[in-house]
Amino acid sequence: MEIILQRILKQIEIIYDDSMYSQTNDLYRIKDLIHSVDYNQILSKRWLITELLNIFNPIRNKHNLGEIPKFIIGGGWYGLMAYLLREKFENSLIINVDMDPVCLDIGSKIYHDQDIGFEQNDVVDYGIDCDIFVSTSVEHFDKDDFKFLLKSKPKHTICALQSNDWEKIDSHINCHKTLDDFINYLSLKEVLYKGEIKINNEYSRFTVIGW
Amino acid sequence: MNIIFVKWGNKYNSEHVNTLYLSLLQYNSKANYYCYTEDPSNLLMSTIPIVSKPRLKRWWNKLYMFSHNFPLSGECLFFDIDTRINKNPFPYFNDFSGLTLIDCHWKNDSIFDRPHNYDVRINSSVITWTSGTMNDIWEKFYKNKDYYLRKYKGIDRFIVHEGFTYKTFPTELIQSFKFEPNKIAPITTYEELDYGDHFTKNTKTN
Repeated sequence: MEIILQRILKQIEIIYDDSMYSQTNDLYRIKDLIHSVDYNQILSKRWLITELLNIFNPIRNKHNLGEIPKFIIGGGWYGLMAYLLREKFENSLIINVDMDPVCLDIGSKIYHDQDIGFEQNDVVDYGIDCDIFVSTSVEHFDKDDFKFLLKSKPKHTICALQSNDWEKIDSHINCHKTLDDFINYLSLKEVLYKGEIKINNEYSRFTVIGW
Repeated sequence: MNIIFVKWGNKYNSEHVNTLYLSLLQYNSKANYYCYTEDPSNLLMSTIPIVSKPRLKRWWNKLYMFSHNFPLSGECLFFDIDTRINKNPFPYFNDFSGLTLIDCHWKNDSIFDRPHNYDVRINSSVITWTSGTMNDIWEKFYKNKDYYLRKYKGIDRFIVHEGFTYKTFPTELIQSFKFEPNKIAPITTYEELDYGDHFTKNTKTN
């Protein structure tokens, strides 16, 4: 992780220099980039990966899933989730999808040697033809769009998803009051894991894994 | 001319909107009045339902007025609900080309110039434009809305710092309730204050 944080510092320097010498002046990117790897981001994503690992290996053997599982990460921001997955799933295809073009640009520089595919797209349009669909930002997706996406998934696709009840944030348009509300909303055929943690005594983050 | 209000959520109620509507109606009964809202109950003017997709909160819904799907044509004049009409403002609304906004002449401290705070010296309490001519504002926002929702505290900052061109109304059109106690302008804006409290006080005493 240390090398990744060093690369992020380098990107921050580039953003700052751009603001000095070019027409590009987006200093908020610095803050956004820092937020993307803050303590809670890492904590939440590692929690999801731990639970996914507990589930995935038994399922892989039982259902003859491929030797090289394909992950699609929806709303993957600059790629932290993809990187943390790569740490645990060495032989896998990992694609980070985010509609923000700058995430592709910066993410592909930070994680250039991690064999992560970066796609600039709305994952609702990109689709989730994969073995494992991961999104830790369900609260940012349109409610109906995301449900449509899950309905369109291949039967075998495992979904590992997080949302929260942090309604007061302007960009949070798909929050859920409780873990059960989130589960009901997702309408997965089988829930393999569900959990909830309190973050900073401010909001709850929910994790659901199922298919 | 279309006169538009935007009401989302429960910070303001129908009484706030109706009071603003009636205070404008006495000066202009020929205009078409609309409220863009998800709750049309008890409103005295025509309503346009807030679209369910994309779902936006609070003042961000104002940006949809610039979408090519917004169902109005011709000259448009927008008022925030927390504006108060003191006298006839319509002589100031002659130019519907481009985008015209409020000049916050009361924001004269250099603190508003900190570049990475993205503060601005305009506000969108009152806007004029012609429908269909400012679609690029909505389109740019919609393409990467999640990022802009994180970056900016409101639409004023988005409009200014994303490089859209605008004009401003004459400064004598509007005054700030908070910063300009001597109110002689046709419009008072209650920006940055809890208008609900002041609205109650004003309607009781006037």
